[in-house]
Amino acid sequence: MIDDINTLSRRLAEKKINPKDFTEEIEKIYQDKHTTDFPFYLKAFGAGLVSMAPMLLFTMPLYYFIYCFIVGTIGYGVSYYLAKLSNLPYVDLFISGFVIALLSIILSKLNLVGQYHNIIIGAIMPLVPGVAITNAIRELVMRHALSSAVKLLDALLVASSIGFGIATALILF
Amino acid sequence: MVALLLNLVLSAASAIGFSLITNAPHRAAGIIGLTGGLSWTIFWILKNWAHVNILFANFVGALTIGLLTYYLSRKFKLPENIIYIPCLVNLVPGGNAYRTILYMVQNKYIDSLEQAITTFLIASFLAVGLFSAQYLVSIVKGIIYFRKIKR
Repeated sequence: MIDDINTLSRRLAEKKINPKDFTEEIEKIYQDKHTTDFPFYLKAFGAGLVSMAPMLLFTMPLYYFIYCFIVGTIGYGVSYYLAKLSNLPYVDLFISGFVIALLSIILSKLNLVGQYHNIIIGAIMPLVPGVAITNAIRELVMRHALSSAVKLLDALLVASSIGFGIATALILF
Repeated sequence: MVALLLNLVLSAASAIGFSLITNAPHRAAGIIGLTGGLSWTIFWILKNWAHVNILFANFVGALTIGLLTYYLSRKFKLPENIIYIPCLVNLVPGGNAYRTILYMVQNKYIDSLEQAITTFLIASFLAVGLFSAQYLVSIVKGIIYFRKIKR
């Protein structure tokens, strides 16, 4: 939505459209209120791609990446639907972390993979707030202390809720 | 050579995947893939072939992201956040963060603390790399500006 308005105003500045059309287009965007939200299957596919993290290259056989893809997609799907069903924070991430660890342990019990730790590391990549932590530190360096403190605390809570979900599965099984 | 190509493809795919999750516009996908792939490949070469310290390798990776983002976002007229957030996801220390919790569960508290400190240090160095890219650009701009004034 912001991108649409930016593109429109750039076209106005280059005098490719006249101001009257511009106001009409803005009105149209305002009434649609559509943010470009990709459909779920595309997002799940993206989450699967993120799960094939390149940091795991050469630490495990290459065909393990297929398991990473599947487990990551399922984990992201669980968190996506739980976040839609209820607006209580952190619980959806706890449950999806639990599901990811459970699936990886099941894979290793079926003798499909030897070491399940790498699968878990790959599959939690779409959920982990590493970018939020980095952004928080970046804001701290830029002297935006308040917003950085809030973001850091939230990122730590999110990370520990995923971690405790995984830890629960590891303790139980 | 095959390893290099595999790294490039995987990191570009994972950057584009994260851009799908965060609803980036379609036309940004190619740019994100280029930036993410290049920064990860530079990090990987530094870490595995030149054997420098992992913190410095992360710093250089983040610096690459910052400089490329600055140039490409102005050339293609996209917000900076859209480009650098998906590219950063490759470099983020997910494995260390996982091992922190894993060792905590296994009662190895010393190892857990070590991994936690490594995670925090890597995240800080990523932030410092991004920040110093901005700083470098602003210093170059300042030098050009003062030269113009002197003449």
